[in-house]
Amino acid sequence: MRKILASLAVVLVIVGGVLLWPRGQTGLTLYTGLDYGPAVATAFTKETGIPVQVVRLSTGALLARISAQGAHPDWSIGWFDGATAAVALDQAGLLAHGLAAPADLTPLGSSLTSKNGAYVPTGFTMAGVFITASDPDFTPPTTWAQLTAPAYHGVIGMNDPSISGPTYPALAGMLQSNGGWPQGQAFIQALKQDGLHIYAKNDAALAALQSGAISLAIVQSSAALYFADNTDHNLHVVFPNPSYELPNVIVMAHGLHGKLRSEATQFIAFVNRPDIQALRMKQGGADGYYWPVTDNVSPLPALPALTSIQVAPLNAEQWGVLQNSITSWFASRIVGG
Amino acid sequence: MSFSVASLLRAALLALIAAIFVYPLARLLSLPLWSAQSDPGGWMSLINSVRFALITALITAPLGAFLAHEIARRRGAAVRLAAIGLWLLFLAPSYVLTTGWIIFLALPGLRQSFVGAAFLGPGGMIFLFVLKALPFAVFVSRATFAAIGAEQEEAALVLGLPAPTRLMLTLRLAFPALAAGFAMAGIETMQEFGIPATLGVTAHIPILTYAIYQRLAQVPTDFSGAAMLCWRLIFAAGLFAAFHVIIQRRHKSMLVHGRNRQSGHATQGPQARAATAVIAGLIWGLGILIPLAALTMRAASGAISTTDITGPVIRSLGFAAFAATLAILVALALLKLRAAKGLAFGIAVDAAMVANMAVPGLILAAGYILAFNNNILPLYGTSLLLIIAYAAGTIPIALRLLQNALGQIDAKLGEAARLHGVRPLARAIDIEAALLATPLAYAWLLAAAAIMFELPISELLYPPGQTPLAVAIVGLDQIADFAAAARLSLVGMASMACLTACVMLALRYATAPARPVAA
Repeated sequence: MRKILASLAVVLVIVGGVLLWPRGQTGLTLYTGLDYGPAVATAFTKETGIPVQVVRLSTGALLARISAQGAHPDWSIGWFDGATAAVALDQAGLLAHGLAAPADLTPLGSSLTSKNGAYVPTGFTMAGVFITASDPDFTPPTTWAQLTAPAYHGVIGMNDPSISGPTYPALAGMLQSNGGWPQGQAFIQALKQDGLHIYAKNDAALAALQSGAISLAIVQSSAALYFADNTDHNLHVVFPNPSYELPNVIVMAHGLHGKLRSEATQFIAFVNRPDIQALRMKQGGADGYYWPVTDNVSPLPALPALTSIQVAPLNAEQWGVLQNSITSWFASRIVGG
Repeated sequence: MSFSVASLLRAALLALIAAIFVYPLARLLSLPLWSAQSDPGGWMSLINSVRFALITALITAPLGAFLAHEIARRRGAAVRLAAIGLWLLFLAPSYVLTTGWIIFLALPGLRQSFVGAAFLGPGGMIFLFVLKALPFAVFVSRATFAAIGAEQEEAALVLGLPAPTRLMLTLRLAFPALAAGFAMAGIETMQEFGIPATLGVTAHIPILTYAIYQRLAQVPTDFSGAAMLCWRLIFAAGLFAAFHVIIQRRHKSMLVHGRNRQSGHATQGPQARAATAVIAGLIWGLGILIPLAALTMRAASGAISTTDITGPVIRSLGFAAFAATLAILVALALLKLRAAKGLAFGIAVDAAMVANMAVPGLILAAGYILAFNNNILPLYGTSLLLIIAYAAGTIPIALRLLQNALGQIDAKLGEAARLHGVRPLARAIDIEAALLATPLAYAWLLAAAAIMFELPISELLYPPGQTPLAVAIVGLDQIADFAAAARLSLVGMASMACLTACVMLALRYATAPARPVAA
């Protein structure tokens, strides 16, 4: 017994030594909810020599981590989907202001910028599109209003915005298409009465679609295009009229100053450079399926031309303020009711 | 007034435990007291959670006790199959169970079948809850059944007691362990989020942890509202724990004493063998083979990517080993202190443990950020804080697993050793550690396996560049590389299985009877 305990103690001391050995904590700390974050950080360090420590998280966990740190941030830069979330963080006083937007923004890109420079758009996707299994007997809808038609009763699925971060902007778009908030509640409740299926995240919704339990899932365009392009070629993506833009944004922690602020500013400018955008598209998984907000950069070939889609804006400040009320209402009346 | 060195040491240990493990949770749970209160919502989610917890506990506790009895005192193929199945089940995180079943049900036609309809609802949730809680219930009861000496059974046979009476006597001795299994299954079910998030959302069944996570999904995160709901969770979990404590106090039995003789493993009777075989079949078929086969299918479906698999697995193994050891040491210290101190201290420890066990990991982790993200004790962003938080999350499990085993050791053993001049360290190693080797190893493995796949605490506390296994799996799921995520999960489980095999080998070596010295 003594020998075994002594051996275990030695093993634990070695393991502890390795795990707890102090590491240099210099440079930037990037919190990223986007797949290409780590690759961009590596490229930035390679070019500038500025170390970037990456924390890769789901958007929900990332926002919870930033919120919990409050006025004592351990992060320098945050990068995630959803200007609405950035507005909410800014209203809580957690973001730096005055971030410079790229000079070569497209007109649509310019419309996505923040008035006080609390965030910088780095691309955009569509908040909610229809993904369906190719079936000659199933004609997918083309507008949001058509979802309540009898042909779609019991065959539509969407994710829960309390669990799947990017679902809130899709829900906001559905509400906006049907009179705004709170008028749009009636439309969502009608969908529920017609047999709307709710799933936790994309993988469950996709599994339901592939099994035939549903015929149409409402998901973010990047996920839909990625699945149709890579996972299941039998899937078909329909961009509803209108399709609501969902920018991915980059933010800086409040109170960052001196060298760190200058390095963070450098990083923010870096991510919109054409060669880095090419890297983001190549190494970004589903998140690489985005439309650029700057000139001289083309999206991946799998993305349809923007001229073929009826793109509509989603006012980040208006819908950001409403996020908590709407997700609470959805949780109690649609998921739990 | 004079203080002995021992009492000063005890006070220092208590202060350390309070600062590291009690303060962060207390800090977060007290948020509703000084911040604007939001509407906690209706009571339906609490009622549903309690309902699920009660059903799960009522199924799991007797089932666990039966399996524990068979594993501890009987031999046969069905028993071995059940024992191995339980270990594999324990090593499989909720993620594997739920993801495996979702992949399985994605097979065309299956989802709309009777199986699919039954699974994607309350029935499926209870089934998965029972599968997850069963190993806890078995392991906590197994130590008791193993400790019941042969003299008990022999005395009953000599007195000619009928079989039902002998069974009742055994059950009477196992009652505290049964209550521990009941409480653990109930509390574990109440704080579970992965299963209800997958199946509960689909079935439109609101439960309390979902309501808490809904608060955490707000931007900025509504920690105060979540903490308010946690109080409901703690209260409900407290009822389960109170039941265990009452039973433990009223029916405590000293099973390990100087005249204790280990009972041999008898052959199973036909009825018990059939029942064990059916349960083992269900564990293997529905709990292991279907989800694992589905996950393996998915792992084989994608091209081999350049994903770093070894880094997160080795790192999480290290975190698990270190944090599980810390959890076991603190649990032992608390049990010792509780035995030495009065009733009030025992109640305080139990209350703190229930709160810790009932509170979801994300809330616990947020407490650690609030407590240690400052200039006074800036532990946030270090591996040390992550390890402490992991340990905090598993101390209640370790404590409940060791409580019965420690309580069964007759204090006279230690006293006799002390009278013979055996030093405290020698008493701890050569008597207590030797007698507790099996429950200690089980508790350590259970804690390590829970930490290995722990997600919410990892997400909020892992230091940059130190990605733990669960975060890496979720990251791969997010980039829709489901095949790599499945591969990583399988490698993680295989690594944990290797660790378990090593510990069991070491345990066998440590507890093997000493060879008689040749004359």
